[in-house]
Amino acid sequence: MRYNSSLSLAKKFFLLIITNTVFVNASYAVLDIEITKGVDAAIPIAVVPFKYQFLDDANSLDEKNIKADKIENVVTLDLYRSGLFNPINTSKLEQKPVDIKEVNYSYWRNLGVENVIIGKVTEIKPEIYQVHFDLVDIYNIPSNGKATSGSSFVSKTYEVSPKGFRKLAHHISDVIFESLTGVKGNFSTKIAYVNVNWANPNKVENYVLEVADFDGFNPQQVVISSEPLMSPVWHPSGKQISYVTFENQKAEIKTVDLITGKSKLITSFKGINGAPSWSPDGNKLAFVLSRDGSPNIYVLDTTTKKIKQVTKGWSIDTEPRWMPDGENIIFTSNRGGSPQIYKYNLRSGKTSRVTFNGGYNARGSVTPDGRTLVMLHKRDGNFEIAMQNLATGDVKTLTDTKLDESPSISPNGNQIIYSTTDNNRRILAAISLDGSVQLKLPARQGDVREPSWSPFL
Amino acid sequence: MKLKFIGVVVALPFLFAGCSKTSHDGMNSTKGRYASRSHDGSYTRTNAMHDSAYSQTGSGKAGAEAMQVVYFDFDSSKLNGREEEVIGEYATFLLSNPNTKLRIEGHTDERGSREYNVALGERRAKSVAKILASHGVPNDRYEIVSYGAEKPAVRGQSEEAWSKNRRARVAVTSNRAIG
Repeated sequence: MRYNSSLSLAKKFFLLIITNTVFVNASYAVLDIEITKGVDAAIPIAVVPFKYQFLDDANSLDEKNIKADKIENVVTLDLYRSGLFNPINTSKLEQKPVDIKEVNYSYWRNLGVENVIIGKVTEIKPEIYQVHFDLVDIYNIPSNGKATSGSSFVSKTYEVSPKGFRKLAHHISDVIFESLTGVKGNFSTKIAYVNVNWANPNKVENYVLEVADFDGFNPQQVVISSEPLMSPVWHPSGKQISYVTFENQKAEIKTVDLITGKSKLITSFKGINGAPSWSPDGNKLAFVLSRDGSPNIYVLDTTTKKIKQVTKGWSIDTEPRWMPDGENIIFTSNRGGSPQIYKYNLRSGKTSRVTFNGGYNARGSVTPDGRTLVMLHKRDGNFEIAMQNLATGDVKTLTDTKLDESPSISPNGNQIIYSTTDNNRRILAAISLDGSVQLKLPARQGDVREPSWSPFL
Repeated sequence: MKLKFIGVVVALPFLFAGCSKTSHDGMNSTKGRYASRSHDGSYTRTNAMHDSAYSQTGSGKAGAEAMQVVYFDFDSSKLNGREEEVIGEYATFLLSNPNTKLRIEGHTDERGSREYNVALGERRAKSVAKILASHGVPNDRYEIVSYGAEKPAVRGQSEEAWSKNRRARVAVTSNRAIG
């Protein structure tokens, strides 16, 4: 119960941070991050405001006229979003240690905090900052009760320009997250998605494939088309994205190189060319073609350039996704009458049905540990994101909104990003796989849909 | 009949409005963007001349406007008898006008999975193509494209909007006879 009060404080605190962030990033129309569901069992942590020191008399980044996000603010929000941590409100702290020797163990233990992050940002040359942080375990008490430099179990120093603050902050979040949980953090990953501008239907840039930071910041336009773009999916290298385009008045699969921005045609057969998915080793692309009549799953070997047909028959077979083992492909099929998820084993050539719960299960993908299927699931007329334990078959819905779609799993398997509706518009939302934290991503102009989470970058 | 179709080729945009009148008395399909719901609860066909989502597609003015739209139930690609009749009229026209080519687009409402909807939209377009084939229209006379849920005719999250988006759209893409 102790955490409930700190939770509501934390929520208010986040709104403050978000307001600041919006101000700083006003140039790209990011509106808000709204946390719609909070954590109960998350680990309390304190991210103490860092000390900022400048070469001149300035007292803040604002005074320096530098548009950068405070590193500790980004770290705080990252940790909160993970669902595993509950950063306490630090605005009314009586103690704000900067140096490890200033950490008073009993003070933090009385606040119920298990870990404290402290740090400082020092301008060492004009526009070049040294960033230092320490992660202190409050329950690892030195015999004399006083912290020393050895009390910090992570202590790191970086040099960065203000432009790199946000990226560095996400990296620091990764370091902290992995140190405390043993699981790699998602904070430096990216998302791809399709932004559709409905405001002016005759405008040329109607459909835009974009890439942004995992939290929706720093959106970059990758492909712009006046005809639909859909189904973006990352190559495991993180350097390319395959997608479906209708720019030639028919469906085609293309791959865009994120460095050059150039797109390369992959398939343009008669009928459907859709639902691309890269194998874990990045050598094979599974997709859907209907060139022989019905939509079936095919696999292109990019080294031999050969295309192999995987599923046969007259039903709809679509949405192939490789399982992490690289030997199985799950897909959606209506062969049994309604859309359900099936699994095809590339070695044995055998197909087995995976979902049995409900009349509509589609767009499946499997967590990196191979244990959980995440899918679009229809319940009581609503389309929700659900997960199924692949060992027991138990199904659990994660969302309770009406028109959710396109779930995509984070590379560490902790979170799902998906598309939902808000005030008659499509936006992106994220939920932790344990269902504990749910949040909406920054709202953009028009519809934002079909998010695809990058691999670790 | 023959005379009528000749007249129609000259004034292609008005062809299907004309057809509507012959088969559905009292329904002025050139005025309304969508047909009203009939008593059995399913949508009747309409001449969607002003379907704003398509202002950029089609080759030439006549092609963009000479179109028909038929509607479907959720997760279904089955046409009702009345709609089969409409497509049958189209087939008759195609057989009398061998230079005319068609594009059949399949569409779905926004619900469900996007790629599954692309497949479902193709099924809808193929339901139309099947009727053309049964009337002897060779399959090189038309092309099929499914947009799934990507190009709704109407935006909105109500059954009313969705029912207008679950459709197949047949449009003339070229007619060399017109020159």
